[in-house]
Amino acid sequence: MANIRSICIITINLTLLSCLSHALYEDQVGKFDWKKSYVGKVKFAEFDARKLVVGTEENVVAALSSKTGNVLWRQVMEDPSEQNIELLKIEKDIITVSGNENLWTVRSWDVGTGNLITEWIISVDKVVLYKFDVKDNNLYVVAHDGSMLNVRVFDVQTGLVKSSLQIPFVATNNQCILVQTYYACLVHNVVNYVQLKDNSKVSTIPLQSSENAKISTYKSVTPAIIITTSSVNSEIVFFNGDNHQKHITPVMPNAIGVIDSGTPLIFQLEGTKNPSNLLIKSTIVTNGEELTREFEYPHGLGKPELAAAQCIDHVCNLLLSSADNALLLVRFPEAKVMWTREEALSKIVATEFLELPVSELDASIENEFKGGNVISMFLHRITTQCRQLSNLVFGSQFLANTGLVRDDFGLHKIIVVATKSGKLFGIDTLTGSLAWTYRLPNVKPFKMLDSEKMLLFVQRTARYAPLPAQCTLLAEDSITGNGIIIQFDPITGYSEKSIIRLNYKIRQALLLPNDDENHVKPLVVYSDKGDAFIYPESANTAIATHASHTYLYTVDVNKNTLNGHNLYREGENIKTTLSWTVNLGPSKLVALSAKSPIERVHSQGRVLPDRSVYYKYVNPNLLAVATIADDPIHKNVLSIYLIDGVTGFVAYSTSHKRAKGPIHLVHSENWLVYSFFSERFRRTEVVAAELYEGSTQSNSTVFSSLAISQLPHVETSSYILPAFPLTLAVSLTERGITNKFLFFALNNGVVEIPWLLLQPRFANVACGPEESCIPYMPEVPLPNEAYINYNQTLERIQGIAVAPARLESTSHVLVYGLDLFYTRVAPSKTFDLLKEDFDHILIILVLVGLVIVSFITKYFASQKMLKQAWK
Amino acid sequence: MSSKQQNRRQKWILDNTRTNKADLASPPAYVSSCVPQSHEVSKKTDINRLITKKSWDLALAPVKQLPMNLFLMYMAGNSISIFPIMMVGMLLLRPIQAIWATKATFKMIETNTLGQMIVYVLGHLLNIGLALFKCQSMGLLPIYSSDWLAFVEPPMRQEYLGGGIALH
Repeated sequence: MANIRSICIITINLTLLSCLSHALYEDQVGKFDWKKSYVGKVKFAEFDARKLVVGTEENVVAALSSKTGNVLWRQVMEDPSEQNIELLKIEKDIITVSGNENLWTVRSWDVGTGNLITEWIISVDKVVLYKFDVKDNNLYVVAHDGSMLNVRVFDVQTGLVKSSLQIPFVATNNQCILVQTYYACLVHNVVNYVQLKDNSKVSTIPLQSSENAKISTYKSVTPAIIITTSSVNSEIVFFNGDNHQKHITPVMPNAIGVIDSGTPLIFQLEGTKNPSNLLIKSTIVTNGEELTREFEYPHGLGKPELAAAQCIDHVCNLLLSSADNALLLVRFPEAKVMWTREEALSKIVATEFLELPVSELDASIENEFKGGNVISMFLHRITTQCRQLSNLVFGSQFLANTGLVRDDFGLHKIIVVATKSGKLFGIDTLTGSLAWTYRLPNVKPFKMLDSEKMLLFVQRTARYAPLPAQCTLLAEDSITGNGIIIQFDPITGYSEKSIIRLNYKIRQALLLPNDDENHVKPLVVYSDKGDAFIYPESANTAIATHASHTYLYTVDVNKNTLNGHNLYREGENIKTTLSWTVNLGPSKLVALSAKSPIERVHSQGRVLPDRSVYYKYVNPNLLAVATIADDPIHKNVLSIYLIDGVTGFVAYSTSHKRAKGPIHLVHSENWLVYSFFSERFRRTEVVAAELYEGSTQSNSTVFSSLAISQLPHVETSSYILPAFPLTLAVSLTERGITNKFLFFALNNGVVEIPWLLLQPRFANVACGPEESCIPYMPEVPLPNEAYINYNQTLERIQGIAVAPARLESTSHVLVYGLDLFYTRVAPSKTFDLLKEDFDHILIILVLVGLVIVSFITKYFASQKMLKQAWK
Repeated sequence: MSSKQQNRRQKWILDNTRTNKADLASPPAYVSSCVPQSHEVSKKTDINRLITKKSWDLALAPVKQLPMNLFLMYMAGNSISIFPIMMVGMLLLRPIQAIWATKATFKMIETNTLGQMIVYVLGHLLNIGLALFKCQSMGLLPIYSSDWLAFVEPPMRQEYLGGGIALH
C-alpha cells in the first residue's frame, strides 16, 4: 500500500514538475538571450600563429583569435582569491604555473584545443619568494631566501627533478626577477644578476641614478631585462653568457621585443602632442633604424601598455592592455586598431536596468496638450499624424537611426553596469552590444562583507522627456578613500558635472522615494562622521515633508551591530538621530538581505482549501540577517533574524547547529529563503520561512512598522539542495501577479526553481493536485531543463541582477561573473502574450471571409424574400 | 370573440330537448322541467372551473418542473465543464425570463389570477434557488473572503527605509 502511495506521489510530482519547468525550444536559442565571454585582466599574453594565448588575473588560460578577438577556448583554473597564475609560456604546448605561496600546479595545455595534457604539483615547505620560468622544456624554480638561491630544474612534461643547485646571492630587496636562466635583483644602486648554472658568479650592472629604479622582464626571445630609472627613461640589458650588454638608446618602460623574419625589433609606445593619438615606434636592435606610426587611440580607454607582439612577414600585431583592463590589437605598419575587448566586464560591481526613452515621435504626441492655442495644437496633431503615417508606410527611420527607443512591452532596456576598474558601461538588452562606456580614473569599489560593490541609484527614469534620465554612482577614491559621486545620463553615458570627489568617506546612502520638482529622487549620503548630505542640494524642500517618515539603517560588520537612524530636518540641513541598535553579540554577521524597493505584492493572502484567507505579513521594512557564532559543542551555529529596519523589532529568529557558510539569503514578499552548508549531514540545505499575519488583517489600508500588535506566524520547511549555490536571487515582475522563480547560481549555470516547490506546506492542510499544491519533497529537483543558460556554461558567477519588464509575465535576468549572460524569464509562462507561432494572417483571413460571406448571404436572403412575397 | 366562442361551444352541446319532444313520452321518473335549468348552470360553472383549473396548472408548472430539475442537476455533477455550465445557465435564466413574462402568460386568463401569479413566481424563485444552490455547490458563487482577495489593494507604506552595510 505504501508503495502504491509513493508511486502516486511521484507521478503527481512528475506531472506537476513537467508543468512547472520551462525548457527552451531549439529554435529559441539566442532569440532573446545572449552571452559574452570574458577572460579577465590580462597578466600574461603570447602569440602563437593565429592565436593569442592569455593568462589572466582571474586565473584563466584562454586562447583568443588574433583576427577577431573572440574566445576560441577558455580554461578556468582555481579561484583567484586562493591561487594565482604565475607563469605562462608557450613551448611546444602552453605551460602554466599557478598556485599560492607553497603549493603550485604546473599544467601543460594543447594550443589548438585547450585540452589539459599534463598536470603535476610542486609542493614546498619553506614559504619564501618563488620565481618560475621555462626554457627548453625545463622549468626553473628559484627560491630566494635572502642569501641563497635554491634552484630546482624540473622536466616540464613529467615533473621529475633534473638537477638542483644552490647559488649564493645576497639581496634583501624584493625587486627580483627571473628571466629564462638569469636571476636579477635590484639592490640599492646596482642590479646584480646571475646565470642559473653550476659555479656561476654574480655580476653587477651599475646604474646612473637609483631613485625609484625598477626592473622588469623584457619580453623577447633573448634573455633581457628593462631597468627603469624614470617614467620615460629606461634601458634594456641583454644577457649573453656571463656578460651583459646594454641597448644603445634609452627606451620607454613598456618596450617589448619581437623577431621579424630574423631581425630583432623593439616596439615602444609613446605619447604625442595630440592627446588622442599614440605613437608606435619600432627599432631594429642591431642598427637602431627606426620606424614610427601615429594612430588614433580609441576614446575612453585607460593608459595602454604593450602586452605582446608578433610579426609575420613585416606585418606585426601588437597587443595593448589598458589601465581599465581593455585589450586592443593594433596592426603595425597600418597602425589600425583591429579589435577591442572590454575585459573590465569580468568584474561587475553594480548593475541597474533602465527603461529607454520614448521615440521623438511618441514624445511629441505626449506633449500635444502642452501647446498654447487651438490652432497650434491642431497643426501639431496634423504634423505628428502625418509623420506617424509615413513611419507606418515607409518604416520607421528613427528607430533605425538610434535603436535605443522604448518598445511596447519594456523588453528593450539598457543595463548600466559599473565595473571594478572604474569603468561604466551601457549595455543594450536586445543584442548585448555596448551602447556607451565611461571611464572613471582612480576609483575603486566599496568592500561589503566578502564582495566588492559600488552603489548605483536611479534618480530619474527616462519617463520625464525632455528631461534626461539620471543615475548616480557612489564609489571610493582609490588614493584617499574618500567618497566620489558621479551623475550621468544612463541612456547616452554623458555626464554633465563629471566626477565629484567628496571630502568625506561614505558610510551609506539612501534614495528617497519622493521626487522633487525636477522629478529627481533626492539622494541622502550618510558620512562616516554621521552627517547626512543631500544630492541635489536644491531638493531640500522636496524632502521636508517626508523626512520624518524616512529611516536609515547601517550594519556595522566589525562591531556586529545594526543601527537604525531617523532622518529629520533642521533648518536647511538633514540630520539623523540614532533610534535603535541591535547588538548581535559575539557572533559574526555574514549575510544581509533587504527587499527590493520596487517590489509589489499583488496577493495579500494565501487561500486555504476551506476557501478562507490566511493573510500574509508583508513588511517592506524587514531585513534578513545571518550570523555565525563559534560554539564549543556544535562547532558553528548559524542564526537567522528578521529585523524590522524602522523599529529594530526582531520579528523572527531561528538557529541551525553545525552549519557553516557560505550563507545566501533571498528575501521577498512575505518569505525568506536561505541556504547553508550543514556539517552534520554534509550537504547544502535550503530553508524557506513564510510569515503570516493570521486569518484577519489588522490594517488593510496602511502598513506601519510602528503599529505592530502581534508577532507574525511563521511556517518553515527545509530542503536538501544537491548542489553548491554561489548566489541566490528571485524573479521580479511589474505587479507581482506572476509566480516567483528562485535563481540558484551553481558552478556551471543558473537554475530556476519555482517558489511553489519551496513554499512551506501547512501541516493541517491537505496537499495534492486538487489544491494545486505539490506534496513536500525533501530534495529540491534540479532538472536540466531548469537551467536558464541551457547548454552554455557560465563560469564563476558573482551575481544575478533581476528587473521587471513592462509585460507582467516577464522579468529580465542578467547573470554576471566571468561570463555575462542575459535572458528573459517568464515564471508563469507568457500568459499575457500571444504565442510566437500565433497565425495572425489566418485569423484575419477567416474574419474577413466571414464578414464577406455574411453580406453575400444577406443579399441572397433578401432576394429570396422578395420572390416569396410575389408568389 | 364571445359570440364566436359561444357558437363553437354550442357545437358540442347535445340538444335533446328540441327533437320529437311531443312524440315520445317521458321516461319514468323524468322531470322535464329540470333539464333546461340545470343546463344553464352547468355551462357557466364548467367554463369557470376549467379556467381556474387551467390557470392553476399554469401556476404550478414551475413547481412540477422542480423534481426533474433536481434530478438533472444531480446528474450534471459538480465539475465545471461546458454542459453542466450550460444547464445551470439555462436553469438560472429561464425562470428569470418567465418571471418577467408572468403578465403575458396570465393574460389569456381573464379572471382575477393574483394568487396563481404569486404561486407561479414563487415556483420560479424556487427554481432560481435551486440554480443558485447548484452554483454554490459548483463553487461559482463569490461568497468566501478568498473570492475577493484579488481585489484587496496592498496597504500603503507609512515609513520608508534604506541603507545597508556600513562602508566605513
